[in-house]
Amino acid sequence: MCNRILCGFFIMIFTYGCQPFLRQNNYDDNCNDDNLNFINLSYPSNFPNMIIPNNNPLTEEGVNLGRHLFYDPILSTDNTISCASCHKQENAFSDPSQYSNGVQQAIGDRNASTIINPGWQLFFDWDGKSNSLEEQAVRPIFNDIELHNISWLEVISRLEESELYIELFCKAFNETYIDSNHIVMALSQFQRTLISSNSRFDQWLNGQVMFTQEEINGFNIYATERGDCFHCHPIGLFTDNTFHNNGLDSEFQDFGRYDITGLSLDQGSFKSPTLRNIEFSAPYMHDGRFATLDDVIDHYDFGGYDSPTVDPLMKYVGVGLFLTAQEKVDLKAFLLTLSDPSFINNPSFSNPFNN
Amino acid sequence: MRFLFFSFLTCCVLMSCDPTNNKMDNLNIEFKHFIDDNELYFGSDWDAVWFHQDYVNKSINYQYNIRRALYVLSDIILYFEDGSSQLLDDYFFINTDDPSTFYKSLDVPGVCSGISFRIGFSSENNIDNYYINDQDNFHSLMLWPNLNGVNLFFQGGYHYMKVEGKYLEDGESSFYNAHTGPINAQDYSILIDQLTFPATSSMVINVNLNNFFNDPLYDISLFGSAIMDNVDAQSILSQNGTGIFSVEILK
Repeated sequence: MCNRILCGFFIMIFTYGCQPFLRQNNYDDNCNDDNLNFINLSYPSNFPNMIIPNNNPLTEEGVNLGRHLFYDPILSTDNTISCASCHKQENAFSDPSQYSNGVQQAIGDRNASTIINPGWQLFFDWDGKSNSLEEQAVRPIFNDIELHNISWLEVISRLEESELYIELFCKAFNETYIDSNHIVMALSQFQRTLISSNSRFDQWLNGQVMFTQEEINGFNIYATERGDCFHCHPIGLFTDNTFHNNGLDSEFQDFGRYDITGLSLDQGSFKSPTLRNIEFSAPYMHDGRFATLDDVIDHYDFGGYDSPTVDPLMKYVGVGLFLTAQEKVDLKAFLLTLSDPSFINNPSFSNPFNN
Repeated sequence: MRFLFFSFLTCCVLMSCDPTNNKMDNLNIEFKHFIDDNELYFGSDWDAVWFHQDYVNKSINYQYNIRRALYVLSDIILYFEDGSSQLLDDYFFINTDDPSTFYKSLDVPGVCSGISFRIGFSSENNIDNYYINDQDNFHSLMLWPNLNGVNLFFQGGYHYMKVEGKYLEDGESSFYNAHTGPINAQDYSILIDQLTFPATSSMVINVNLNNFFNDPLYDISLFGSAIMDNVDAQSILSQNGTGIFSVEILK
């Protein structure tokens, strides 16, 4: 008898330990039983198929919940900071400040990444510490210098006090309780809709607009080894989804990818960000050291600083590209064609609490 | 009794028609990389190699090392001990930054005793964005730019090979990027003749990266660090298919 009780106890512990955090609440089981409205995202043919986890298909209800969560400071421990505090739509979901403020004025040590076409990214954050949107969505919720929560219990308790979220979770997941997994899934669903594919460059590829001569010349610099931007920022998504030391420093304050892999060769390497909407996402680099696009172009023209791990693609380290003043103007003109005003002004991506 | 007989007969017919009943063998291939006799270690051991490896290869006039190599093998034909052969639909993508790409496992209809392939893609298979959904981040890492008519040297498709590192000249080190591909829409891919070996289900393909540069000699310093639009450099490298690959069978 005693053994049975003990076994039962262990089974309960084991089962409980495998569950996501959830709290059954006292609300009636009156969730919306209507069918979920599944979303088929549309994007250009020169984008790969977006990989969406089978257990987290996009629905209008899930995306709407995720959008609310993204913009609501309720996810921070003191109700002051939301995801959108550091990822502002007008800045291509990045932060114009070099370093962002978390709760209680805590200051981060890297520039907030853009969130552009995240559904195609293989790694998240500058050092790639997260391998999926779902995984990434958890990290800032508990990061001391971001939303600074201690536990899911804390987060869910705040959400449960909101009639709005009881309703939105019900509609999105047809459950009477709020589940940590559902928070993460909804945030990820919303972010997968953040697609930018209507830049002037896209329109030019489609034959809808003509490029100026400067833009054409700039493209020729960008996509050949004259400027050699395209190896790390290939045409299409404008990121190679991998990591490089692009010669910012000869000695490192921030070891980047190395902190995740422990491989010496990764010291000073950071993820290649997409260059889409780069006009809106200053300052630049993982530490926001460059305030303008001109600064960035000057860095690559200079060639960068040598170090044991600098990427061979930075092949003119210590030498420089010797771009002429006109070539710099041309290259910048091309980079500005990657701006997509319809992305930063898309009402579907905006703060729902302002509507 | 008649029922049992017909049931038996039906089972026999169904089994003989079952396509999965054809015997398939497993073929495991591992790629190892060398500069002549020096094996290159990537991944966790790579740190030591990068920081302490001497510049090697005296045969191309300069000493050099290899930080990474990415290459495509396509039009792969496997030859079997019964005399049959099979053209694989898929290609191999090897990326020394990702050692998991060194290992290939195939289901094949026999025991393998030979292999031939092409470095890169033939023109007919080198189509812009064609491999956009392939695994191992292939598209992003290997795409050959398409300048949409702005520069005809770059009409899209994919690199054949990217070998990168440093070379030493007059005591000064410089980076080189030996990237080959369909410059000006010309096919510079390299056909590798059949390599034969005792029939096996497990083999290592040894890749002497040094021989990408050896026959005819490729002068890294002469062609500079960037050769994607250099017809002469591409032409020389496209002739360097000899002695790169050899097969070692595993018991």
